Amino acid sequence: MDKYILRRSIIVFPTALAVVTLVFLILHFAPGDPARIGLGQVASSEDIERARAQLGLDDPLLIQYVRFLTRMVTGDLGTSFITHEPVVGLILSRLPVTLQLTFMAMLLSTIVGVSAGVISAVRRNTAYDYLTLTAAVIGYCTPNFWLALLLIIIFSVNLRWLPSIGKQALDLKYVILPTLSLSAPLIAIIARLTRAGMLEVINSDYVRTARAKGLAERAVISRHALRNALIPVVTVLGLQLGSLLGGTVVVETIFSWPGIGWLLFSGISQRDYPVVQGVVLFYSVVFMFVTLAVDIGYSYLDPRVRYE
Amino acid sequence: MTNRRISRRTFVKAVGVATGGLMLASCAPAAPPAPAAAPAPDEPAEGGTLTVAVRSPIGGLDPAKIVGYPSGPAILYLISNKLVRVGTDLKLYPDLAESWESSDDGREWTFKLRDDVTFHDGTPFTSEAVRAHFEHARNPEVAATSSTRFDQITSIETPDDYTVILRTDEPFGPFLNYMTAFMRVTMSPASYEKYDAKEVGLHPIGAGPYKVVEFKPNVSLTLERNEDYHGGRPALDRIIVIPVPEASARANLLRTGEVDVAEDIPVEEMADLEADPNIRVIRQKSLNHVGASFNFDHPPFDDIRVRHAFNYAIDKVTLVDTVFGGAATIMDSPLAPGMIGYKSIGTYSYDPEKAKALLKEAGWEDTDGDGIVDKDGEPFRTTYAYYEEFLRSAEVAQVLQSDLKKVGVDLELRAVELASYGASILPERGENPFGMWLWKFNPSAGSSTRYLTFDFRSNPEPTGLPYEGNAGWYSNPELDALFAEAWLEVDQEKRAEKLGEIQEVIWHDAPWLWLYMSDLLVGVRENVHGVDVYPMSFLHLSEAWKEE
Repeated sequence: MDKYILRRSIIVFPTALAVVTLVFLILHFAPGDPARIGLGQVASSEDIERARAQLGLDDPLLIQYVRFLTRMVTGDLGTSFITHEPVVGLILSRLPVTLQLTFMAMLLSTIVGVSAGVISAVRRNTAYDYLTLTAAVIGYCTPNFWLALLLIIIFSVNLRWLPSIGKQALDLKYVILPTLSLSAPLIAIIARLTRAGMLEVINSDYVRTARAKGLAERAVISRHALRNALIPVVTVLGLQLGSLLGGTVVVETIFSWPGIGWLLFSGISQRDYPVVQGVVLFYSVVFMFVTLAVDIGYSYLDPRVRYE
Repeated sequence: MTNRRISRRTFVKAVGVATGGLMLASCAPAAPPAPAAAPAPDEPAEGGTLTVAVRSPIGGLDPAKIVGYPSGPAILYLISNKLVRVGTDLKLYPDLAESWESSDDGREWTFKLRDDVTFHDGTPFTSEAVRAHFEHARNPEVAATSSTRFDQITSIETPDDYTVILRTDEPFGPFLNYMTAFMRVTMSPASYEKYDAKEVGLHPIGAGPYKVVEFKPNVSLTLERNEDYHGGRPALDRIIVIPVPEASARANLLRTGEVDVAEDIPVEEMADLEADPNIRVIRQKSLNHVGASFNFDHPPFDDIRVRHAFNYAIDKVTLVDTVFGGAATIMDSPLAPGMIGYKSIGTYSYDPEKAKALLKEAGWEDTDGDGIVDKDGEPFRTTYAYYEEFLRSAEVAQVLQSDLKKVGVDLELRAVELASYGASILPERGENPFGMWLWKFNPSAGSSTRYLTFDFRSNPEPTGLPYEGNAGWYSNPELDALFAEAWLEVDQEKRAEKLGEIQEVIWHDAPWLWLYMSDLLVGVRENVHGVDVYPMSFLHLSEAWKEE
């Protein structure tokens, strides 16, 4: 088992290098010149050349790459072109509010999604089941920027129940709308997966045996069926963290939520290379480690994985 | 000059067609004048916090390197002042300078400074602050643009604490306009000593009506009343600025009352917001010229008849009514009304028959009956580039496409990402793939000469990158000569006369498909007063006050 973890952990390094290289290349071959963006439309070609030299953008690509790698290894993500703050500091200062949002969304999705899925499976082909399935399809298909605006119109503009701006991250009422907008697709996915998993397990032999030996239905469902049905859900939860992080860019921008997604948004709109690079790298590394954690966690839930 | 904020017009409520994205709105013919809003109390009330939702994240507030246009300059105007101020009426007013004069040869400008001004950090405002201001703009570490450095100024003299003499090698016509640009906002000289040149933008210390309490770059900014402001006690206790890039989100925040002022509200929500009794919509005519620049290197756009045909082919009246709900002005000169030397020349009014005739004269005729005109067997196909982030540009592009189709031109639309737009439109000569593109210019200092030369003066080098905004490589030597004269003319009246000639030439040459200037729309809560908008797109908040 330790061997499995070790093998999975070692693979992280080449993956990280590939990610770093990709991020570097994508940004440099993406159209748009940060020197020009920094100077605005009214800039002469001499001004642009000077800015390029100052930003180190006139060096050969390989030199820029080596410089970039060396800095990465020492944990230096550079300083923002715009505010001149270290990117690591920027990310760390924005991290808590994004984590809060992501965590709340995960929690909400898991609780609502799993419960809805289980009830749906237990009462399959009832009106409740159809309602859940329909809601899941709608929830999954709704783009979160649109959902966010819709929620604002309903709960902030018309009902006046909740604020539409996330200026106080610690107060619960500011968290509700962003969390809802962010978690809707994930709730849908989890509900459907749980339902499918439960249906498969409920009809299996060991569940029938459990029922046959006289266990209460509640115990059959929660202790025997759910545990197995949740295996694919755990995997998907981990993998969906990526899309949750992606979703924070949109949701944070709409709700003026001062997290990493908002940092990425302003970085992109100001063509602030170091910030964009830093955040994308950060997201990728988080994603890699989450995948690793999921794989390892999976091996505990389902011992068969370890011996493959 | 008249008050440039036009009265509210009532619109027949628009029906948004979700699929086409086109807003169909029609102007009610001979609409009765809107009932006057409840009269505002005369005396500005004191106190209160004004929360402002701006459209761009503000990353730094160094006047030499502002990050977040046009929100940044508007906020900068709350924090400090310039020697010469331009009003929302585009007239010049004394600000930190009490008076100024230019020498007879137009090469020397003497400014007499106010002696009662103190920066927020206690540093007195003197001529040394003006020197420090220019030295900072020219600090190579700041890497500011040429107009920010104000390269025309070759010597700065400070004979005493309250006199500054600025010299230029040649007489420089738009000198005073340049002095009113937002880059000329003067900050405390002590801040340049205290902070690194690159970081002063994070610690803005000015002499303006409000001082910075907390600045979180790109996230929020809190300002507080400057009790010692030389222009009188400012009305508000605090101003909180939050960037909200999504336009509908800004409008919603205004509806809920979470913000008091929303910059740049979407034109499609204008009618709905105007109907809300708690909200007023301020409309200001802008200087933001929008048109389609022709690529002179792509025949047949080198043929003036074709350019004229395009100008006659577009129904601008319908465009302004349908796409902007009437909140735009059709260009009738390369300059916007209100700018120095503006001369109304006349519109290329919608005339598809004339357009067809001009195309025919240029050799373009539909010989094979496919609805597209052709010449030597080649159909007239060209591409138009635009970026979707710009206000209703996609809808405008669709109008161009359908109107040009009616005169037999097949226009292909290409949406280019904003970040790469400049590079796509301004590559080395010969590498620009587009026949036409969305082009606009917002003269941030209101300088006519600056704007006209930026876009219409011949590029000095015949190859390579375009020097400034003339990406279509339009070139008219007669015009260049007129520009040279206008640059040297310090006398405002004589310069206006030169500008009149220049406008005629450019208008007739039609290097652009002339379109419109869309109005600036700002939403405020009904209890907020004194908010205005500069025609160059900046909010004017320093006189704002709030009824509690």
